[in-house]
Amino acid sequence: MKNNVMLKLVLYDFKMGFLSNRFKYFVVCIFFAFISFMFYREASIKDTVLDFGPGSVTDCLIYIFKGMKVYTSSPLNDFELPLAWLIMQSLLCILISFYPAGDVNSYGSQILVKSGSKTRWWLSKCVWTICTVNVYYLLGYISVYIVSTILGHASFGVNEILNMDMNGMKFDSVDNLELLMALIVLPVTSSLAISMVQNVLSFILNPTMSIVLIFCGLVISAYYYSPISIGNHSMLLRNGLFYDYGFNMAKGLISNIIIIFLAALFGSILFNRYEVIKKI
Amino acid sequence: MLIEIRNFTKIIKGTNVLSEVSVQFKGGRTYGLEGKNGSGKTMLMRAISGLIRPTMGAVVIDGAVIGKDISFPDSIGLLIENPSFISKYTGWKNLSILAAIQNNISAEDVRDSLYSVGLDPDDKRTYKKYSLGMKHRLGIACAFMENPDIILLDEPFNALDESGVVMVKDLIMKAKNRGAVIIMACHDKDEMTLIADEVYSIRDGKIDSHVVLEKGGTI
Repeated sequence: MKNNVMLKLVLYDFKMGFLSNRFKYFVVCIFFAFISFMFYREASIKDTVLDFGPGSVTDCLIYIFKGMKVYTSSPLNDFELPLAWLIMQSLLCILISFYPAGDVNSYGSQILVKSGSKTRWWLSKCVWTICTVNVYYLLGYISVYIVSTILGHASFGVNEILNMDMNGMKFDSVDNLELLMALIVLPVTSSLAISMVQNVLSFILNPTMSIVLIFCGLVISAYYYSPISIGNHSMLLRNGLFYDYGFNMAKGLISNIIIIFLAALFGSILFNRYEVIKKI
Repeated sequence: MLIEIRNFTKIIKGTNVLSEVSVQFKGGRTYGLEGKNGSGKTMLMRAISGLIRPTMGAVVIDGAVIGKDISFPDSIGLLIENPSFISKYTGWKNLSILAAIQNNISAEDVRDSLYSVGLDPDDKRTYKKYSLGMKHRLGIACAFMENPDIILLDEPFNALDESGVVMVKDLIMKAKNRGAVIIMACHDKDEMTLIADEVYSIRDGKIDSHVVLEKGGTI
């Protein structure tokens, strides 16, 4: 029966994690829908002047994930935060940060003792984190698709003129697989890496502090471009596909995967030393 | 069943909450812990349950060192301070979720454990609508439901009426008779001496005295 404990823990986390986040998931859908609506509104206004035709689901996703170009500090160049990208990342931080650390200091502490293993308990929280990040993006993509359908542009092609005008991005030499990597695989793995690091920080500090630190890290990532900064990997405008000195997608993917594994390993070591003192 | 606390010291933020505690708890006996608030009774229970790690020393359960060989004792029931339950769920559902992790007992056993503390498993009220006494009874049911080898009870008679006290005593006796180690902290010295076989007095994180009661366990 012991070999089922891991599965039971994972199922418990799915259920409890969903219960604790159910309203936040709703906010996530609203956010993606709102940004999609803003995209179509802006595209529609520009279309009347430039006549580049309607945007698509893919164009909308590019708009959401574009982030910002590499910032070069100068008196003529004001630093403007990529708000949509920052809110998107911050929402995920809020979704991830409170459940694992909150659970261990409440009902979950009893589950922890019954599970018999701190490593198993931590791994279950890692599985929950991975699933939550995937659900987050899935909800995001679905919301974008629904808004696109409502506004009558539910196609998946890339409107090159629109993207050149609205995002300053060229798609001449970008194939579908590369676009899929840039729009789905890299943002998801980047967010997984950030979320796993955040989980560790939540146990070292507390959930609120972990959100503050990750938020600061994201702002710094926007200001300073570095291929090893995980926040950059989810910004299309800093991707090597669209920016000559941008990060290499394969390297970005590998670095994200390494960070995910290191955070899981370090978190496991840390959690085995973690003490449940508040209350049981 | 043998619990050995070997030279256990716990320092939190520069304060010795437990200092060089060395005691043994054997199966089939009931142990009482007495001492003022903050003396270290609850912390000792947390140490036995594996929820805290020693600064020095060790807790050994049947030869297995907690934190080294095992994370937690294999078979343990806890009632430490105010147990947390899911406020949206009924008492039965709360216990069912916990019981499902180890899957050692049936749904019928969960129902029986609720009956044994005077709660109705079919009660549709959620935990947040329980009275203080009902919440405490649920915590007791949780500690006893899987017939664990180790039972830790921190103030088990708190918030209980007379019938509740009798009920807890009965559960303790049954657990003792099947060979479990019962360790309880209790401010009521009369109740403690009536139930416990041995009483340890804790002061400032140290074992101050140890008394073996000749008539212990004769409720």
